[in-house]
Amino acid sequence: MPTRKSKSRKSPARVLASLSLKPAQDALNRLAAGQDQDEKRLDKIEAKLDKQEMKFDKLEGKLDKIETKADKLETKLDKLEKKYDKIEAKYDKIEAKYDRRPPMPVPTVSPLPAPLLVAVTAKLSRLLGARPSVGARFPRSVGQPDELEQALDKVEKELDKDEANFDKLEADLDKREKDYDQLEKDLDNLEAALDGIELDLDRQVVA
Amino acid sequence: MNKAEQQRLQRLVASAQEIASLGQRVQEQGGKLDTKEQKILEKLEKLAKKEAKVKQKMLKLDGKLEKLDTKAEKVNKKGAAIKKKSEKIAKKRARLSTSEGGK
Repeated sequence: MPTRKSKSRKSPARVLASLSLKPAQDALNRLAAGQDQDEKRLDKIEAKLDKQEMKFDKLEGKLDKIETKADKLETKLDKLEKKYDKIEAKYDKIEAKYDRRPPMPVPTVSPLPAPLLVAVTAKLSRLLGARPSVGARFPRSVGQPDELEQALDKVEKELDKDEANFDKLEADLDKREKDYDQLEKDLDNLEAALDGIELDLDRQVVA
Repeated sequence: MNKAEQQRLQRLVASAQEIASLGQRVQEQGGKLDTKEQKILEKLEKLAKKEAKVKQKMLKLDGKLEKLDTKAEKVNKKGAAIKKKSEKIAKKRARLSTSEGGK
Protein backbone atom coordinates (compact mmCIF):
# COMPACT_ATOMS: atom_id res chain seq x y z
CA MET A 1 0.00 0.00 0.00
CA PRO A 2 1.55 3.25 -1.11
CA THR A 3 2.24 5.80 1.57
CA ARG A 4 1.14 9.48 1.21
CA LYS A 5 4.70 10.39 0.56
CA SER A 6 5.30 7.88 -2.19
CA LYS A 7 1.98 8.86 -3.70
CA SER A 8 3.11 12.46 -4.16
CA ARG A 9 6.59 11.50 -5.45
CA LYS A 10 6.99 12.28 -9.15
CA SER A 11 8.98 10.20 -11.54
CA PRO A 12 12.53 11.53 -12.33
CA ALA A 13 11.43 12.15 -15.91
CA ARG A 14 8.54 14.27 -14.68
CA VAL A 15 10.81 16.16 -12.31
CA LEU A 16 13.22 16.80 -15.19
CA ALA A 17 10.41 17.86 -17.48
CA SER A 18 9.30 20.41 -14.91
CA LEU A 19 12.78 21.99 -14.75
CA SER A 20 13.80 25.04 -16.72
CA LEU A 21 17.35 25.62 -17.87
CA LYS A 22 16.52 29.08 -19.16
CA PRO A 23 18.18 31.04 -16.32
CA ALA A 24 21.42 29.12 -16.82
CA GLN A 25 21.17 29.55 -20.57
CA ASP A 26 20.54 33.29 -20.21
CA ALA A 27 23.47 33.64 -17.83
CA LEU A 28 25.77 31.83 -20.22
CA ASN A 29 24.54 33.91 -23.13
CA ARG A 30 25.19 37.07 -21.15
CA LEU A 31 28.66 35.79 -20.27
CA ALA A 32 29.39 34.97 -23.90
CA ALA A 33 28.18 38.41 -25.00
CA GLY A 34 30.38 40.00 -22.31
CA GLN A 35 33.33 37.98 -23.54
CA ASP A 36 32.71 39.13 -27.10
CA GLN A 37 32.69 42.70 -25.89
CA ASP A 38 35.87 42.14 -23.88
CA GLU A 39 37.52 40.65 -26.95
CA LYS A 40 36.62 43.70 -28.99
CA ARG A 41 38.01 45.98 -26.28
CA LEU A 42 41.21 43.98 -25.98
CA ASP A 43 41.62 44.05 -29.76
CA LYS A 44 41.17 47.81 -29.67
CA ILE A 45 43.73 48.10 -26.87
CA GLU A 46 46.16 45.89 -28.76
CA ALA A 47 45.78 48.09 -31.85
CA LYS A 48 46.43 51.17 -29.72
CA LEU A 49 49.55 49.58 -28.26
CA ASP A 50 50.82 48.68 -31.73
CA LYS A 51 50.23 52.27 -32.83
CA GLN A 52 52.07 53.59 -29.80
CA GLU A 53 54.97 51.25 -30.42
CA MET A 54 55.31 52.77 -33.88
CA LYS A 55 55.10 56.25 -32.40
CA PHE A 56 57.85 55.42 -29.92
CA ASP A 57 60.05 54.10 -32.73
CA LYS A 58 59.38 57.29 -34.68
CA LEU A 59 60.26 59.42 -31.65
CA GLU A 60 63.43 57.45 -31.13
CA GLY A 61 64.40 58.02 -34.76
CA LYS A 62 63.70 61.72 -34.40
CA LEU A 63 65.80 61.90 -31.24
CA ASP A 64 68.73 60.24 -33.02
CA LYS A 65 68.40 62.72 -35.88
CA ILE A 66 68.26 65.67 -33.48
CA GLU A 67 71.31 64.39 -31.62
CA THR A 68 73.28 64.21 -34.86
CA LYS A 69 72.22 67.75 -35.69
CA ALA A 70 73.20 68.94 -32.21
CA ASP A 71 76.64 67.35 -32.62
CA LYS A 72 77.04 69.09 -35.97
CA LEU A 73 76.08 72.43 -34.43
CA GLU A 74 78.59 71.92 -31.65
CA THR A 75 81.35 71.39 -34.21
CA LYS A 76 80.23 74.52 -36.03
CA LEU A 77 80.27 76.53 -32.81
CA ASP A 78 83.80 75.30 -32.05
CA LYS A 79 84.84 76.44 -35.51
CA LEU A 80 83.19 79.83 -34.99
CA GLU A 81 84.93 80.22 -31.65
CA LYS A 82 88.30 79.59 -33.28
CA LYS A 83 87.50 82.12 -35.98
CA TYR A 84 86.61 84.68 -33.34
CA ASP A 85 89.93 84.05 -31.59
CA LYS A 86 91.75 84.55 -34.87
CA ILE A 87 89.85 87.75 -35.60
CA GLU A 88 90.48 89.06 -32.10
CA ALA A 89 94.21 88.47 -32.57
CA LYS A 90 94.04 90.37 -35.85
CA TYR A 91 92.31 93.31 -34.17
CA ASP A 92 94.98 93.33 -31.44
CA LYS A 93 97.67 93.38 -34.10
CA ILE A 94 95.96 96.21 -35.96
CA GLU A 95 95.56 98.17 -32.74
CA ALA A 96 99.26 97.76 -31.97
CA LYS A 97 100.12 98.91 -35.47
CA TYR A 98 97.91 101.97 -35.02
CA ASP A 99 99.75 102.78 -31.83
CA ARG A 100 103.13 102.49 -33.55
CA ARG A 101 102.28 104.04 -36.87
CA PRO A 102 103.73 107.40 -37.96
CA PRO A 103 101.23 110.19 -38.74
CA MET A 104 99.61 109.51 -42.08
CA PRO A 105 96.14 108.97 -43.52
CA VAL A 106 94.49 106.27 -41.47
CA PRO A 107 93.09 103.20 -43.19
CA THR A 108 89.58 102.34 -42.25
CA VAL A 109 88.90 99.80 -39.57
CA SER A 110 85.19 99.17 -39.65
CA PRO A 111 83.42 97.99 -36.56
CA LEU A 112 82.18 94.42 -36.79
CA PRO A 113 78.84 94.01 -38.48
CA ALA A 114 76.08 93.61 -35.93
CA PRO A 115 74.72 91.30 -34.77
CA LEU A 116 77.63 88.99 -35.14
CA LEU A 117 76.08 85.93 -33.66
CA VAL A 118 72.45 85.02 -33.56
CA ALA A 119 71.54 85.39 -29.93
CA VAL A 120 70.37 82.32 -28.08
CA THR A 121 66.71 83.26 -27.95
CA ALA A 122 65.23 80.11 -26.50
CA LYS A 123 67.10 77.55 -24.50
CA LEU A 124 67.25 74.52 -26.76
CA SER A 125 66.90 72.18 -23.83
CA ARG A 126 63.60 73.79 -22.88
CA LEU A 127 62.21 72.85 -26.26
CA LEU A 128 62.29 69.21 -25.27
CA GLY A 129 59.44 69.83 -22.86
CA ALA A 130 58.81 68.41 -19.45
CA ARG A 131 57.76 64.77 -19.25
CA PRO A 132 56.40 62.69 -16.47
CA SER A 133 58.70 60.16 -14.91
CA VAL A 134 59.35 56.84 -16.60
CA GLY A 135 56.92 54.11 -15.73
CA ALA A 136 54.29 56.46 -14.44
CA ARG A 137 52.57 56.55 -17.76
CA PHE A 138 52.20 52.96 -18.72
CA PRO A 139 49.90 50.84 -16.63
CA ARG A 140 51.51 47.54 -15.71
CA SER A 141 48.28 45.54 -15.70
CA VAL A 142 45.28 45.26 -17.95
CA GLY A 143 42.80 45.79 -15.07
CA GLN A 144 39.63 47.37 -16.34
CA PRO A 145 39.82 47.63 -20.14
CA ASP A 146 38.00 50.99 -20.02
CA GLU A 147 40.56 52.49 -17.65
CA LEU A 148 43.45 51.07 -19.64
CA GLU A 149 42.00 52.51 -22.82
CA GLN A 150 41.69 55.93 -21.20
CA ALA A 151 45.24 55.72 -19.89
CA LEU A 152 46.49 54.80 -23.36
CA ASP A 153 44.59 57.70 -24.93
CA LYS A 154 46.39 60.01 -22.50
CA VAL A 155 49.73 58.47 -23.43
CA GLU A 156 48.97 58.93 -27.10
CA LYS A 157 48.24 62.61 -26.60
CA GLU A 158 51.55 63.02 -24.77
CA LEU A 159 53.39 61.20 -27.55
CA ASP A 160 51.82 63.54 -30.11
CA LYS A 161 52.90 66.50 -27.98
CA ASP A 162 56.44 65.09 -27.78
CA GLU A 163 56.50 64.64 -31.54
CA ALA A 164 55.43 68.25 -32.08
CA ASN A 165 58.14 69.40 -29.63
CA PHE A 166 60.77 67.37 -31.42
CA ASP A 167 59.73 68.80 -34.78
CA LYS A 168 59.97 72.31 -33.33
CA LEU A 169 63.38 71.54 -31.90
CA GLU A 170 64.59 70.09 -35.19
CA ALA A 171 63.38 73.20 -37.06
CA ASP A 172 65.18 75.38 -34.50
CA LEU A 173 68.41 73.44 -34.98
CA ASP A 174 68.10 73.70 -38.77
CA LYS A 175 67.62 77.46 -38.49
CA ARG A 176 70.64 77.77 -36.23
CA GLU A 177 72.71 75.76 -38.66
CA LYS A 178 71.83 78.20 -41.43
CA ASP A 179 72.56 81.17 -39.16
CA TYR A 180 75.93 79.73 -38.15
CA ASP A 181 76.82 79.08 -41.80
CA GLN A 182 75.98 82.68 -42.63
CA LEU A 183 78.01 83.92 -39.65
CA GLU A 184 80.94 81.82 -40.78
CA LYS A 185 80.81 83.51 -44.19
CA ASP A 186 80.55 86.94 -42.54
CA LEU A 187 83.54 86.19 -40.36
CA ASP A 188 85.54 85.00 -43.36
CA ASN A 189 84.77 88.29 -45.11
CA LEU A 190 85.70 90.24 -42.00
CA GLU A 191 88.95 88.34 -41.73
CA ALA A 192 89.78 89.17 -45.32
CA ALA A 193 88.96 92.85 -44.69
CA LEU A 194 91.21 92.89 -41.62
CA ASP A 195 94.01 91.28 -43.62
CA GLY A 196 93.61 94.08 -46.15
CA ILE A 197 93.78 96.73 -43.43
CA GLU A 198 96.86 95.12 -41.91
CA LEU A 199 98.56 95.01 -45.29
CA ASP A 200 97.75 98.70 -45.85
CA LEU A 201 99.19 99.57 -42.46
CA ASP A 202 102.36 97.60 -43.20
CA ARG A 203 102.73 99.35 -46.55
CA GLN A 204 102.28 102.74 -44.91
CA VAL A 205 104.92 101.94 -42.28
CA VAL A 206 107.34 100.76 -44.99
CA ALA A 207 106.60 103.88 -47.05
CA MET B 1 4.45 10.70 -18.64
CA ASN B 2 2.10 12.48 -20.95
CA LYS B 3 2.91 13.92 -24.33
CA ALA B 4 3.31 17.48 -23.09
CA GLU B 5 5.77 16.34 -20.47
CA GLN B 6 7.65 14.40 -23.09
CA GLN B 7 7.89 17.51 -25.23
CA ARG B 8 9.09 19.55 -22.27
CA LEU B 9 11.70 16.90 -21.59
CA GLN B 10 12.85 17.04 -25.20
CA ARG B 11 13.10 20.81 -24.98
CA LEU B 12 15.07 20.44 -21.77
CA VAL B 13 17.48 18.06 -23.41
CA ALA B 14 17.89 20.48 -26.30
CA SER B 15 18.51 23.32 -23.81
CA ALA B 16 21.04 21.22 -21.94
CA GLN B 17 22.85 20.49 -25.19
CA GLU B 18 22.83 24.18 -26.03
CA ILE B 19 24.14 25.01 -22.56
CA ALA B 20 26.88 22.45 -22.94
CA SER B 21 27.92 23.94 -26.24
CA LEU B 22 27.66 27.49 -24.84
CA GLY B 23 29.70 26.43 -21.84
CA GLN B 24 32.39 25.04 -24.09
CA ARG B 25 32.39 28.23 -26.15
CA VAL B 26 32.62 30.37 -23.00
CA GLN B 27 35.47 28.24 -21.76
CA GLU B 28 37.34 28.45 -25.06
CA GLN B 29 36.69 32.16 -25.34
CA GLY B 30 37.91 32.59 -21.75
CA GLY B 31 41.16 30.90 -22.69
CA LYS B 32 41.45 33.09 -25.77
CA LEU B 33 40.86 36.20 -23.68
CA ASP B 34 43.50 35.10 -21.18
CA THR B 35 46.00 34.71 -24.02
CA LYS B 36 45.07 38.11 -25.40
CA GLU B 37 45.42 39.69 -21.98
CA GLN B 38 48.81 38.08 -21.56
CA LYS B 39 49.87 39.39 -24.96
CA ILE B 40 48.72 42.87 -23.99
CA LEU B 41 50.66 42.67 -20.75
CA GLU B 42 53.77 41.72 -22.69
CA LYS B 43 53.19 44.61 -25.08
CA LEU B 44 52.73 47.00 -22.14
CA GLU B 45 56.01 45.80 -20.69
CA LYS B 46 57.75 46.22 -24.05
CA LEU B 47 56.35 49.74 -24.41
CA ALA B 48 57.41 50.67 -20.88
CA LYS B 49 60.95 49.57 -21.81
CA LYS B 50 60.79 51.58 -25.03
CA GLU B 51 59.56 54.57 -23.08
CA ALA B 52 62.46 54.24 -20.65
CA LYS B 53 64.89 54.07 -23.58
CA VAL B 54 63.38 57.16 -25.22
CA LYS B 55 63.44 58.96 -21.88
CA GLN B 56 67.12 58.08 -21.45
CA LYS B 57 67.88 59.38 -24.93
CA MET B 58 65.98 62.55 -24.12
CA LEU B 59 67.97 63.07 -20.95
CA LYS B 60 71.21 62.58 -22.90
CA LEU B 61 70.04 65.00 -25.58
CA ASP B 62 68.93 67.47 -22.93
CA GLY B 63 72.45 67.50 -21.52
CA LYS B 64 73.89 67.93 -24.99
CA LEU B 65 71.55 70.82 -25.78
CA GLU B 66 72.37 72.52 -22.50
CA LYS B 67 76.06 72.23 -23.38
CA LEU B 68 75.28 73.67 -26.80
CA ASP B 69 73.40 76.59 -25.25
CA THR B 70 76.33 77.30 -22.92
CA LYS B 71 78.77 77.16 -25.81
CA ALA B 72 76.59 79.44 -27.96
CA GLU B 73 76.42 81.95 -25.12
CA LYS B 74 80.20 81.81 -24.71
CA VAL B 75 80.69 82.40 -28.44
CA ASN B 76 78.11 85.19 -28.28
CA LYS B 77 80.05 86.87 -25.46
CA LYS B 78 83.26 86.51 -27.42
CA GLY B 79 81.59 88.08 -30.44
CA ALA B 80 80.27 90.94 -28.33
CA ALA B 81 83.74 91.53 -26.80
CA ILE B 82 85.35 91.60 -30.24
CA LYS B 83 82.69 93.99 -31.44
CA LYS B 84 83.50 96.30 -28.52
CA LYS B 85 87.20 96.02 -29.31
CA SER B 86 86.59 96.85 -32.95
CA GLU B 87 84.58 99.89 -31.93
CA LYS B 88 87.40 101.00 -29.60
CA ILE B 89 89.89 100.64 -32.45
CA ALA B 90 87.59 102.54 -34.77
CA LYS B 91 87.40 105.37 -32.20
CA LYS B 92 91.17 105.34 -31.86
CA ARG B 93 91.41 105.62 -35.64
CA ALA B 94 88.93 108.47 -35.62
CA ARG B 95 90.90 110.30 -32.90
CA LEU B 96 94.13 109.85 -34.82
CA SER B 97 92.44 111.06 -37.92
CA THR B 98 91.14 114.17 -36.11
CA SER B 99 94.49 114.97 -34.50
CA GLU B 100 96.22 114.53 -37.84
CA GLY B 101 93.63 116.67 -39.54
CA GLY B 102 94.37 119.37 -36.95
CA LYS B 103 98.13 119.23 -37.67
